Amino acid sequence: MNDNELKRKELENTDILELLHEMRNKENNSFATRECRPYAKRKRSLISPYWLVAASMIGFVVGIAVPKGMQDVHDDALAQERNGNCAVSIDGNSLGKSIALGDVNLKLLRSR
Amino acid sequence: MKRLTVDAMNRLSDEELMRHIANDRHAAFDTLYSRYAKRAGGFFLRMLAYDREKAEDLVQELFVRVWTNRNTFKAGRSFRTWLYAMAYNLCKNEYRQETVHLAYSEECLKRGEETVEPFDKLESDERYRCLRRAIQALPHEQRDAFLLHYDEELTIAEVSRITDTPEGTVKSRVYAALDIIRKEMDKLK
Repeated sequence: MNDNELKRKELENTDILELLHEMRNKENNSFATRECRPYAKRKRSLISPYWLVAASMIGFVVGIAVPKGMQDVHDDALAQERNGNCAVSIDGNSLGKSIALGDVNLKLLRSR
Repeated sequence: MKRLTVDAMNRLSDEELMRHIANDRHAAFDTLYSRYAKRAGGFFLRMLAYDREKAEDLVQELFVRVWTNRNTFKAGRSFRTWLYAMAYNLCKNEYRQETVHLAYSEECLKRGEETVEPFDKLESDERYRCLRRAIQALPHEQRDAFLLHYDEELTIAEVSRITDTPEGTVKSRVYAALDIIRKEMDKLK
């Protein structure tokens, strides 16, 4: 296919090409565009992965690690009392109650 | 780089605007968008059987790509060729899910113009309707070459680069497209 053949064909169909341009202009003008702002930063969601990680760590500490630690302290104190070489008293409260109140300032006293 | 007013932005060439966009100038992007959004929309309409919703989505997608690829645009290149290469690739992706569009197009052509025509104002114009039907009846390759060359006024060399087809083939396709459209229009008259 050479350029002259194509030029000749275009000349034969000038009416079609003019019509195409006319139609294109009308269609383009009536095309409704939406706003496009790809540069706008997205708002950070409240439920971000960071929050989820932080929440699960807090959940682990509160739900597993602290009770486990408290239980260990409790078991240790009771074991010592059973051995008869010490008694446990925490400011007048029972050991279990003090632990439930979060008072871990144990005072290990010598045997009565 | 100096900040420019909207008026000053409007006076810049596409390629100069791209330089500003590469430096994250939002106003330059907005200027380019307002310059090309309607054109790109019209192009998608004609390429994709007048599926207006799809055309609107693709305009968004196209300009998101302009923004995300802003740093890959090379100085000395034509913005239009770059833009239409991306637009053409988006159309090709749509062709891959061809069943929907072909079915839509075929159905529209069979049923007449009611569903094809999204433009009430133009509905009455018989000549436009004939031309639209004739263009939609073209095979993809011919329609792509025809619309890129005559509708978007890209040169044969540019169409060849965009469609990754030899120039001779592009010429044959637009030649054949003109032939088919002429015959279709004569038939529809």
